[in-house]
Amino acid sequence: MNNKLKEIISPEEICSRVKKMGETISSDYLGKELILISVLRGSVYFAVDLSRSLSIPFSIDFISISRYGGNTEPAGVVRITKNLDVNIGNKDVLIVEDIVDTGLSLSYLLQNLKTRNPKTLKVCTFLNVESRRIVNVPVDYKGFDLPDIYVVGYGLDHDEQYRGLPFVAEFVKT
Amino acid sequence: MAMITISREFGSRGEEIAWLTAEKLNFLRVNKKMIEEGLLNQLSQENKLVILESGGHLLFKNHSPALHVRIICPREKRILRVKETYSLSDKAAAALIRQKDRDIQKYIEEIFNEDWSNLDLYDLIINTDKITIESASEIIANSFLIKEKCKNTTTPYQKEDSGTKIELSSKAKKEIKFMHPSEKEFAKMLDFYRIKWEYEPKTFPLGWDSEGNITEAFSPDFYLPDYDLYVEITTQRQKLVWKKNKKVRRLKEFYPEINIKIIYNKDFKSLLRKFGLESG
Repeated sequence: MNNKLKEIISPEEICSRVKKMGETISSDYLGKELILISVLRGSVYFAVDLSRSLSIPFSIDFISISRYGGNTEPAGVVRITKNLDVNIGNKDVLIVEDIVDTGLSLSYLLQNLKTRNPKTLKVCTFLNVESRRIVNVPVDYKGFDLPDIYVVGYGLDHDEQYRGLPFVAEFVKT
Repeated sequence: MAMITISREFGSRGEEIAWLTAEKLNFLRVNKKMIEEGLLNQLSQENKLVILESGGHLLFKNHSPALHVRIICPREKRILRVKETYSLSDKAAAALIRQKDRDIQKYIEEIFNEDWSNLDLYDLIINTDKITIESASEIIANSFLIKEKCKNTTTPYQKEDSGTKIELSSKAKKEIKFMHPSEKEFAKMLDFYRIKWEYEPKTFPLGWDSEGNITEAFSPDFYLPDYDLYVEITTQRQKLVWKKNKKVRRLKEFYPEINIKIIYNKDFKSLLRKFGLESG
């Protein structure tokens, strides 16, 4: 395996951007009942750092949904593989994603969470790849806009590898 | 939007029947000129229409409230009529019929990639050999009303039993013949994420000749009703992509209210890669 990694966002850039996002969110959610919902598994790293940069009270929970695998049986549809433990009814909910690209899984997540009647429902993503978007989804907070490249690190994996990298790197298959 | 489309063999008196039907039902007559001026979309929002030829039965192929009618007539009878109407010889009348029918055949083939003589595309076929134009228009008008009525009485029934309906529609989807494997893959992906889709539900005319015949049209691959979005998947070689880009630009020009997203070969590959489906 001679795959090449090319750093595109440094740990320092990540740190200062996440800190800034935390400040914005803290001021937007001042006096509200904020629940962060981290979408497993990729967003955990971002969610932890983001939550540590918040200056307001919040609670955090996790959700996981199945991923499209192509050869799923014909009836295969997305489902929740790990549900929330808290009730989000009448709460101010912020979905925390590592990356939003096609918008397909996020659109399902939004629909699903909406039926639980949160007071507000917004989206915060570490990376945003607008050029890959298929369905329109609202992105309220974003860390970095990326072109259509394949990236790993800071939670994003390739076959479960590279999640722990402190930076974001373009993954180039050689 | 309610509409009747009428396609006819030259000399079958289809045109007269179409206008008589429109009069009976108080529908707006759509002629080639109106289509030429690009008014079809706007007209169909506000009016009930009778559309003569111009591929109306293909433009609104999957539009369930539409009634698609074909008027036919044996050749000998048509020659006789054309001969009288235009004061022509037997030979000239036959040649004119051949030419007119071939013109339509050709443009249906070029624009819609369909066979004009394919009678599967019509709901109702009327042979005007022994039927007068008065009776024919009466038959069409009544067929339309009966179809409307049946639709209204069956709707609540279907609503009650929505479970069956969903099953039926997903069964129907399996039978869709996709033009390309990438479209099938994309449909599976949408199904997985529970995003409703329709396959090539609409054709947009983009160009017309001086007679109002459609010379260019575009049918995007998918429509996602919940997002009011058309999606076109272009996995063709780069050489052909510019042609499609041109079509999409024209589509946006003519129908600025349409949302369309093109997925290029490169995008599709990165989509497959994202889901771990890349080959090689």
